Amino acid sequence: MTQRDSVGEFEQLVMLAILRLEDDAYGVPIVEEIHQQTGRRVLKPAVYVALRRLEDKALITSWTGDATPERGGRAKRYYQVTKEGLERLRDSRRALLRMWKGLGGVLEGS
Amino acid sequence: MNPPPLAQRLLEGVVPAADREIVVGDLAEAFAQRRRAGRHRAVAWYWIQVLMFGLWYASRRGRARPPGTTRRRGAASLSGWRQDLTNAVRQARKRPLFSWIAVTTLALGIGGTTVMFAVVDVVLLRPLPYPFADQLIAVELQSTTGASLNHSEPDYLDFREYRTAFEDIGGVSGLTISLSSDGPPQELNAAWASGNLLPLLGIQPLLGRHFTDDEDVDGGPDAVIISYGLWQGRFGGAPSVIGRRIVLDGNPHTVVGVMPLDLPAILPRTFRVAPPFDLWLPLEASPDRFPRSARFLMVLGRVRSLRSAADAQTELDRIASDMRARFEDRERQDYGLRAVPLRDAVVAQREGPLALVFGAVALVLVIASGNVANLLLARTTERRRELQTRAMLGAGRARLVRLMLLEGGVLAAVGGGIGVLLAAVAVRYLVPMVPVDVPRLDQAAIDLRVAAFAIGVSGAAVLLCAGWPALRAGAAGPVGSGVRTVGSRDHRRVHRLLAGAEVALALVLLVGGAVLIRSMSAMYRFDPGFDPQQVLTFRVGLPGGEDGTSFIPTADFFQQLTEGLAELPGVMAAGGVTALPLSGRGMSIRYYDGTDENGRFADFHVVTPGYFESVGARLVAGRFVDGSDRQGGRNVVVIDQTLADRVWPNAAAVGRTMRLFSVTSLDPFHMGPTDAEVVGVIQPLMNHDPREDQLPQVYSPHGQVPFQTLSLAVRGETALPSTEAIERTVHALNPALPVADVRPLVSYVDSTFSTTRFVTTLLGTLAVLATLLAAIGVYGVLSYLTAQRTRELGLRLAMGATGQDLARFVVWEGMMPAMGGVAIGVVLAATMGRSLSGLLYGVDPFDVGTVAAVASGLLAISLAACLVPARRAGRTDPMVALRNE
Repeated sequence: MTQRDSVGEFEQLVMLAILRLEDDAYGVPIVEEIHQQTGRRVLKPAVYVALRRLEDKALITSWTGDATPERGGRAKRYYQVTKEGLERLRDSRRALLRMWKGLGGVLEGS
Repeated sequence: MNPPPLAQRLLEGVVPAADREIVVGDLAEAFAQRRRAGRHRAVAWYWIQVLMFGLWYASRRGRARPPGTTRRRGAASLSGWRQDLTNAVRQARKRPLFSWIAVTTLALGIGGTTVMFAVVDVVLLRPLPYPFADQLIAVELQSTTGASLNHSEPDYLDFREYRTAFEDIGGVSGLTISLSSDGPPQELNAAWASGNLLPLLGIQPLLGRHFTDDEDVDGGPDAVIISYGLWQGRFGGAPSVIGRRIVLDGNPHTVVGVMPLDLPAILPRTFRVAPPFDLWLPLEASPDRFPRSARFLMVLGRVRSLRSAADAQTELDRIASDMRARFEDRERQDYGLRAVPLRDAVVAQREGPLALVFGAVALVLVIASGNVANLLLARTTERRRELQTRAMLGAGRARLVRLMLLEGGVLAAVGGGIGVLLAAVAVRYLVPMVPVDVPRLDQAAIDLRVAAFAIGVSGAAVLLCAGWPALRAGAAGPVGSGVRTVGSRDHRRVHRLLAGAEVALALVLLVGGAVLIRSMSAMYRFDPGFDPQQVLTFRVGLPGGEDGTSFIPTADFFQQLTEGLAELPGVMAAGGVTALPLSGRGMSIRYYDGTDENGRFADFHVVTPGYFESVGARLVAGRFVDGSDRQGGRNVVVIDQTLADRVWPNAAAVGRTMRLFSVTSLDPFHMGPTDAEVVGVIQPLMNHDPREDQLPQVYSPHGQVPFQTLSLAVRGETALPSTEAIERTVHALNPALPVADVRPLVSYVDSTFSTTRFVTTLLGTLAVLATLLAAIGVYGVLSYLTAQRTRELGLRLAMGATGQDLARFVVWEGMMPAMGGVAIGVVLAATMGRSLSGLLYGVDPFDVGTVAAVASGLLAISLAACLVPARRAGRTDPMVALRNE
């Protein structure tokens, strides 16, 4: 058994959003992507904290982008999921699918 | 295009540095996008974002952790709070006696402070209940003779004309008037107000309307607005009262409006006729009706919404300098105007004693907290092993501090809760029994504001009680690092400091109480110059014009009235005066004493024959006023001894001529200087509160200066004369005249002293309580310290010290902080004494004899508190002491 920190559901959502946004993955769009796909309203500060945490765990990386006048000359930070992060997402997907196996009827029937 | 700068600044403040640039940039970008859909929505959205980020990061503060650690510690520390709280409750329950003492002490302290705050808040702190009350400014006149709120009518009209910073300026005065229609005649308090005053204050009539412009002009229709109380009492609350004609001072007036209930005061109670008002009459100001020397109006204005009180002051300064330039008479030389917030002008003047009592109660709370702190501190020392164990098991300094603060917090929370309950009961049942006439006092209640205050006070009490013990606990080192000396030295110093501070505060309160008591007894020894017992007084005013029923010339009417009263069975004497002693009314006059060409001020009264006899005045020389002093004869006056000594220090006054000048045109000598022969000299009557300046007194006979309103004094032979007989006598002469303000003369004396008596009683009680608490504090500290040092004392005994040496040592140790406290307390009392001076008569606020007596008393009490532990120390058995521990 590998002894790794588990990745919480919220953190998974953030990583998946980054993947879906491809080259345009930064703060506000990530929040909006999660909202659009899941219908959940997430707290923006929670997303920023999650991003920092994921980066600390080396599951995502970031680089500084251009500073537009719209941003008042402030730098923009783009995010990308690392190999390690992708691995972790696959792990949890696999685990979930395995747990779901055979339960489709039970849960979808109602 | 940019987000609101303030919001952005706030956001930068709440987001941690690491994420700041990105977050602020992202939100700026998102704002720019939303901006296209509408600026207001975007701004609102941005503010919500700032709020959310603020809340989020604030809730996470203290849970900051180095990168790479998991979140679990946060959860652990949260449950740690619960654990510590449970522990604190358990600690409190383990020692019920200790806890009850602490809780009771705090409950009384917090409860008392809360009651006083509820009262102070409603009476002193809250704004007057007018819309935008902070824009209301009273204009105060400042001259070398003192500050006053009164202005003349022409001056007021000038203020109105030259104003720019004020939206509007209004004038108001009070007068008494008699209502003789719709029931028995009744004397009423009327506000004599400019037509714009009520709209300016923002008061809407409950029924009807404000005065119109043509009603506020001399000679306009006679309109009146009546109070809610009068409407209910006299007119049965019928809406048909609007348009009704009522007779005031013999003239018909049309009721145009009814005021709402609970109208707050706008005139300070120092005015001759003070609120509550029964009715409102238009002022009908005109520039030439009264001269500029007739100052009877209070002037107040509303500052324009974008102007400040400072603008108002600048404007008043400009107006005042214009006036000085325009009127170059002597009186204008020192003319100045000052903008005073209306609330201060109306309320704050006479309620200073309240703040004083509040301060005293707060001091008692501090002393009580000091005692609880001592207890907690002692417990901390006892528990040092437990705390050391906790520290060894990994509890950090912060955790230990938190633990102790929570223990204090539990006690303060329970104490505070009980305190608020006590306060609620006291406000409901005790405060209404307070014998002092304080405006709005009846509105005192425990509301959210007061509750918030109580919570704040409880929090402060926690810090006071548990702050130092908590820090001490935090400093508990691991076992073995000098178990025996943990905090012993510092600790003792803190105990002594607390005891000393308690003594100091108790001394301040005791000095205040003692000085007040001395002043009280001095006031009662003050010779009033009259005998107030068995004298019933009332007021009768003849209507300004003919009232249609009967018309007797004023002098004849009062002569007949006093003669009729004097003939009543059981009545010794009866007479009338323009203002009774200590009634707060009165007029001034100037007399010429050969030094100042403009004359000096004196109290001026007009009296009928029989007045001096009925109040029991004492004649020094000459005679009282009698029936021979009539118009057409030579003008005569009776003066008091003070004035006689001042003008003729080396000769008899009787038979000499005194020159008198008017002060305003409203008094009888407005034609210019008048000469009058002194026919009598009396002992001065106490016309004013003994703490105020007593002016010399001049009395003119009513036969020569017929005033239309007089107060009558009727002296009974053995008891107070009956009110019915008096009313019958008045109504036999004129059935339409109201008999107003029937009360015994002695009640004027009582009400003069009632505030002081109340404050003295309260402060005295608090001082005794404080002393008791401080004595308990000193005793507790000493017996605790002595018990702590049993071993050391035993060693000293073993090494040859006698029991007496030990006792002396312990006493010395206790008296050190007590003496320090006394020294500091004396300094504090000296600096705080000034706040008392307005209440004192005949004694200095920092009376050396009183301070010395209080200081030695406190030292004696401290010594007594030291003696018990000292005796115990003296009886120490060395073997027991050394075996101990």
